Amino acid sequence: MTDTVLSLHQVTQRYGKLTALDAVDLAIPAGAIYGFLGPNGAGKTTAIRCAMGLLRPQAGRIEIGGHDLTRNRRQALASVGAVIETPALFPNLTGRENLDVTRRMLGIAPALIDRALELVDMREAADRRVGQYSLGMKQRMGLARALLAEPKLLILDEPTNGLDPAGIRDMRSLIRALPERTGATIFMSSHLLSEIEQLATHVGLLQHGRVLFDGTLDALSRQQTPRLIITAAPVAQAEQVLRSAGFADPIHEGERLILTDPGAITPERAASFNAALHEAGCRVSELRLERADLETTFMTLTGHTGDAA
Amino acid sequence: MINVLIAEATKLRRSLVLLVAATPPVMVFALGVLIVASGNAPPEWTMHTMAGAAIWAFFLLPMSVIGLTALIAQLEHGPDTWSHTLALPVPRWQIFLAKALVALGLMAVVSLAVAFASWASALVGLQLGDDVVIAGRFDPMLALRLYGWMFVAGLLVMAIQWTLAMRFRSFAAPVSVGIGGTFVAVAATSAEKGLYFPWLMPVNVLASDDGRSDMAIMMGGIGGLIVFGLAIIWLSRRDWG
Repeated sequence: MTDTVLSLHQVTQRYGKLTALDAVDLAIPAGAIYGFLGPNGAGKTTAIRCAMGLLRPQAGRIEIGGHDLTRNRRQALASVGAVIETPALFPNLTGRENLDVTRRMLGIAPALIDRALELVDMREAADRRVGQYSLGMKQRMGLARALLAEPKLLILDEPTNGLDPAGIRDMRSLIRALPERTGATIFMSSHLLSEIEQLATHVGLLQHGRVLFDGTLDALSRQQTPRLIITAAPVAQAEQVLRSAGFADPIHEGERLILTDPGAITPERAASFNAALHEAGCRVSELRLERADLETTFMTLTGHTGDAA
Repeated sequence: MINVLIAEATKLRRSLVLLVAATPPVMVFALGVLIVASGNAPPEWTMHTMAGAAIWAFFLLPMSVIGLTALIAQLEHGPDTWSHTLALPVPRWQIFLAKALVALGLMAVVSLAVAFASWASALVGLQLGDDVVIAGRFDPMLALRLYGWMFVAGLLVMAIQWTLAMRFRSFAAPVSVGIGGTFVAVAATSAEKGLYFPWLMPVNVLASDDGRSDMAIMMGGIGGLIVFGLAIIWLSRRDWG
């Protein structure tokens, strides 16, 4: 059985008549990079604030490292580092002083400051005032502060928000390397589906305060029906071949034909279609089996047509 | 707790809080020098000490409390570091108690600095003015007693301003209440019921009636400690979402 670092059990949070979290169950396994997705207002930040003990849910239970957050707040939060929303640092202090403030409050050894700075590659800029940092540097310093106490769980709320493409790439590399370098489990929310797809091993989907999916990325992609995409000319003749093979309604998408019948879409059937099309004199320029990407899966599950933030 | 206190004090480094804290003694010094050097000095040292204390109690103390508590709170409100600070595995009451102690410590230092500035301004003014004389001798114990009791009597105002500054992200609430309180205090200085008005308690320390002075010190001090205590409990327990 996989150890669970963070778990939410039937967590409900209401703001007046609005239910931000509706009996949310989540389980973040140890060693995972857990991507937390949901449209705007889905309740992601509320869930993170509950997990950090900043909000007390009206119902349900949260456990971190086996400690109940309500009954045992200090022990539960002792194994957590977090960057919530913007990297909130004291701009009048240097990076090192910012870390030192947190270090003193946590009562940990000064040597851990240099270790944390090393992890995020910020040693050289550590003695400059944070007010002079770029957003990317602030993100790194926020991450260093979250890593200061060698947490078992790292919570990152939109860690690439506002960064330029190079900054996003750097931050992504940094996050990807963290589980191996620190042993921390990562729980991150992001509005960038591609980012979650590239980084995460596990995914949680939230909409209207309810969990639509909680599991591995593979399990999520398996929920989607594979599609066979065929580009062949002449397209009418190719369609005729497919109809004679039993597909009444292949989908037309320009010069492409798309088959979505779940029972028929196997690699073996794809190969037999290819042979049949060749025999019928069709010129096949593309024939591939495609599983839906995370965005398509997300849109399907949420019934959403806009941004997936 | 000591570590939390040091951490809270560290947050003041290079901040506007220190600049604002330096303003009252500088102003008292500058004003004192001008008054004494221009020949308008009070005839006795006791009166000079009382005059400096009155300026402090009426205007500068409440204004300093508004500015310092608001700026100390803005150190967290401004960059929105509450989420980080309050998610640390540290008892929240310790964090808020440390913040309160930092604010009180700073006000105590400013009070002492103003007392010193008042004395120093007279010395410099006497050097600069022609034939200016202040009779008698400076009584440091009188100055310490006055400013010390004013600090105690001002605890209730400090607690009210600190609580508002911590609770509200915007400057508007604490500044409005502070300006309003100071205005009412000036307008109702000699009102009988003014004894119970928090912003008048430091002023009442100067009252010639010992009963009024003692009552102001007791109500301001005890009331301040109670409000600080309740505010720390409330701020520690509320949701920060």
